[in-house]
Amino acid sequence: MRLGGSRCSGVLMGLALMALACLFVPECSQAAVSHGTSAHEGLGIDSRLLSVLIGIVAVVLQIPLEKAARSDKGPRLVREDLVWWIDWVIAAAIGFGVLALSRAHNHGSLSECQIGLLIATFSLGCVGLPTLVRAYGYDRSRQPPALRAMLGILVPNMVGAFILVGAVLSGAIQGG
Amino acid sequence: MGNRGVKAFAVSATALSAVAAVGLILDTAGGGKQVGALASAIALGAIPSILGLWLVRKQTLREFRKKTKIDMQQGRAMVRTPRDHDLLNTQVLPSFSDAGVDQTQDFFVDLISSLDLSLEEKEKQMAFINEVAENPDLPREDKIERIVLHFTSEALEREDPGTSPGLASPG
Repeated sequence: MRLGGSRCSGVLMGLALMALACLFVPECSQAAVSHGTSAHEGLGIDSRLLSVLIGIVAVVLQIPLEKAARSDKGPRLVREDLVWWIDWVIAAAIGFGVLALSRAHNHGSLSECQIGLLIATFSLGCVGLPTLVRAYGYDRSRQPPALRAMLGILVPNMVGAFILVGAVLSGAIQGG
Repeated sequence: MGNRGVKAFAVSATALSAVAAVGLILDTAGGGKQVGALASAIALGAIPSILGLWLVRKQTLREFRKKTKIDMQQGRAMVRTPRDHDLLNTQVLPSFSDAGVDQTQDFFVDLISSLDLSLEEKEKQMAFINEVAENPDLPREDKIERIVLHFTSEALEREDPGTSPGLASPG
């Protein structure tokens, strides 16, 4: 159920992001051309705000989706519903892709250092985070193992949020 | 790679990823926006997680209280099926663990006070709660687990002694 909810919210997040890009980018492109402003300024929405918005959309969409998919007999909200880092890492990849591709004609570019940091962030995050949660995120003294608050939820979510904000800011710069 | 190697790799990779992400935020935000961007990332990660944990705990304990109260009044076990057992271990006990010993103590004192039990029985149960909660030799986790398991297995013993599904009676 947990994975089903994540996939669902990941797809919906991608759609929400594309909608946001479509809403803001075309008119901003025109504004950028006619006023000679940079595309980054012309995005119309602060890229930091956009990254936080994507993260909040993930959380806000996920809770009702999880609840709607759940049987009436069980608890309505469980600790596993708070595992948002998966959605945020997916959203980061989609966010970077959508922002960079939608603004590619503006010839924005990342420095070599930024590209290196972006690759390290994604590759190490995608390998390290799931392994960290599997190794330290569960209290195995109980059967079945229980998800820990700190190493199972809070720390992975913090790292996921860093990856999301970093990727969206890079996407906005790459876009121009 | 051994288990220790996997754990060391997991911690190192995650830490490096977090450091790279922070570097990326600082490098791409530029100028005076660096602090704001970093604060946004911290707020996005921390605030919903802390609020979510509080909400899940509140809801889990409210449902547990409702179910336990009905079961105790009817002399039934709170844990009757494998699903109840899983729920106790994955949701209820971690929620009490997050809440702490004092809140666990207050929760059960309040629950016992609200039950239709004899005064003697109430005093006996409250004495048990206070004794476990104030025992300096017990670790925090053990105190919480003993109190919670006492009340989930107590009801079971009333109905059918000796068939506890693996829930240890408090020592």
